[in-house]
Amino acid sequence: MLDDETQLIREAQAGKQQAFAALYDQNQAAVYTYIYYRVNDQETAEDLTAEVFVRMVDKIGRYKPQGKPILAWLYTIARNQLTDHYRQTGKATWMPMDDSLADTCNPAAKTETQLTANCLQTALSHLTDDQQQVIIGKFVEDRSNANVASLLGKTEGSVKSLQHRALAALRRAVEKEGCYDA
Amino acid sequence: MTPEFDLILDECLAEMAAGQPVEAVLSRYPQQAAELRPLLEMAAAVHESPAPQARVSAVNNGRQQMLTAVSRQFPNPPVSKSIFSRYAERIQTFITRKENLEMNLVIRYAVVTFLATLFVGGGSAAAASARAVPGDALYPVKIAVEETRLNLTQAEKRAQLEHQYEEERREEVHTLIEQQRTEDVRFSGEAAEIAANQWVVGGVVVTVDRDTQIQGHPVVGVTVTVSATTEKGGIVRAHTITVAAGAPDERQSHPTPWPTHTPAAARDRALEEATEAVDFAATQAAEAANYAATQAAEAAIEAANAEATRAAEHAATQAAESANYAATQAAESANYAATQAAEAATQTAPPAPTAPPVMPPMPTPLPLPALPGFGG
Repeated sequence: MLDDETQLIREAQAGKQQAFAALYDQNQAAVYTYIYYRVNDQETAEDLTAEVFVRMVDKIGRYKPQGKPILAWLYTIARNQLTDHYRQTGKATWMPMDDSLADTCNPAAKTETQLTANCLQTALSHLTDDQQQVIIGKFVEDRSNANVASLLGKTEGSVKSLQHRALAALRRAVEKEGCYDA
Repeated sequence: MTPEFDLILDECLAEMAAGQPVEAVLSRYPQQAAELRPLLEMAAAVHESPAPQARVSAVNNGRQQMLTAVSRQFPNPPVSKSIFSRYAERIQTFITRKENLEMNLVIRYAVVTFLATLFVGGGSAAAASARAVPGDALYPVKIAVEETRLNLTQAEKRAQLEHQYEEERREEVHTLIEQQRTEDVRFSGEAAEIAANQWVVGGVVVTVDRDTQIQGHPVVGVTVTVSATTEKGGIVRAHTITVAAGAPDERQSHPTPWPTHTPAAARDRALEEATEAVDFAATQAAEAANYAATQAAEAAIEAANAEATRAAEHAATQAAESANYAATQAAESANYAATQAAEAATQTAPPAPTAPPVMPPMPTPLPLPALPGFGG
């Protein structure tokens, strides 16, 4: 699959429109999801996603795959785009959860099974960027450990540890927000 | 948080991803169940939450913005004014001439096929104009080939061909947008989104303003026909949007300048034979013309490489004249062959329900290659 993508990237770097269109079709949804959970607004997420791909065109000439999916690079562009967005709108970037909250974890506390979209968005904002990507990649986009690892530039073992910490942090966050409806 | 627990958690999550319920997964790890449960439930809750999805119009707008940036970043190389470009204008003139519009179906197909073949120098007739979009000199050839093929296609296969051509119209719109061109377009498709200022028709984002005429009562999911103009910035500004009246194919809702009757089987066979004969003659003639033109063009290129500007101009003129002469000769040959083939088809088949066109006399039978295994 990476070989196919590498070929597409080469064609895109040569200016082939169809290659850009294919890269867009393959990655637009993932970029949108990445941004959506960080801005909590559909229209803003749509606009920023479009800008990510325009930036991709501007920078494609200098891009080198280095064995990673192009989505990892697009996430980097999206992260920079979000930083610009927060700067322009005067909003603070997402706040990773305070480590002290880790001690308050009570694993047997709740057994709710329904999580609203707004609650998930809000709770995710308490997680680190890597934790967010593991949660979204594994449980929203159904990616494999290997795929998430390649996107994050980590080993599969690191991803397994990270998903443990991410799930625990998310659990604490939804309890803190009090938005985890039964 | 031990590495062992990380692995157990990962195995549990994998089992849940394979469809196992939380309780069944926990029953396999009773000692870790208390610690696993909230994590597995959290993962299940995230998995069950609705995934975010951008609107179709936003996805299409994003693609158009990106392709616009591609056009800016990678401008198309300037198209050289080759000697062959002159033929495009001739083809357009030929096809749009009034008397030619009334030409017999077979002759029309033959000549259109031949000219399209000639233009690419021996390539297939279909490929000759396949990449043309509205505004291109070859676009009338493309439409003429399509219409003629539709008329020569049996009714049961026609719907499939019409559908294919409808998709082609929409692809042309995307191409024009990518190329930042301002052209009039007409296409059909399902109205996937209908908003105050913007519709999505067959994957094309259409801008609707107060000057847009809406004919019929559009609802999401219905097939509509859009007459619009593509503009820079990826805008497709609609002039009219017409709801198809029960027929998904807009071709059937407006008249074409050519007869649309369904030929009888005998006439079909005769037409197919005539078409094949004309295609063969046209290909032969095109190859001859192409060879002459290529020779002349190469001479012009050599002269240009020698930086002899005047000599190059002279050679180019000579090349154009040589190619022009060869093409004229070839066109006359193909016309002659077409006339013969059409005459043969008309004599073989029963008369068409429409008024027959005026046919030139048939001087000699069409020379066809002998088939092995017959007449021995």
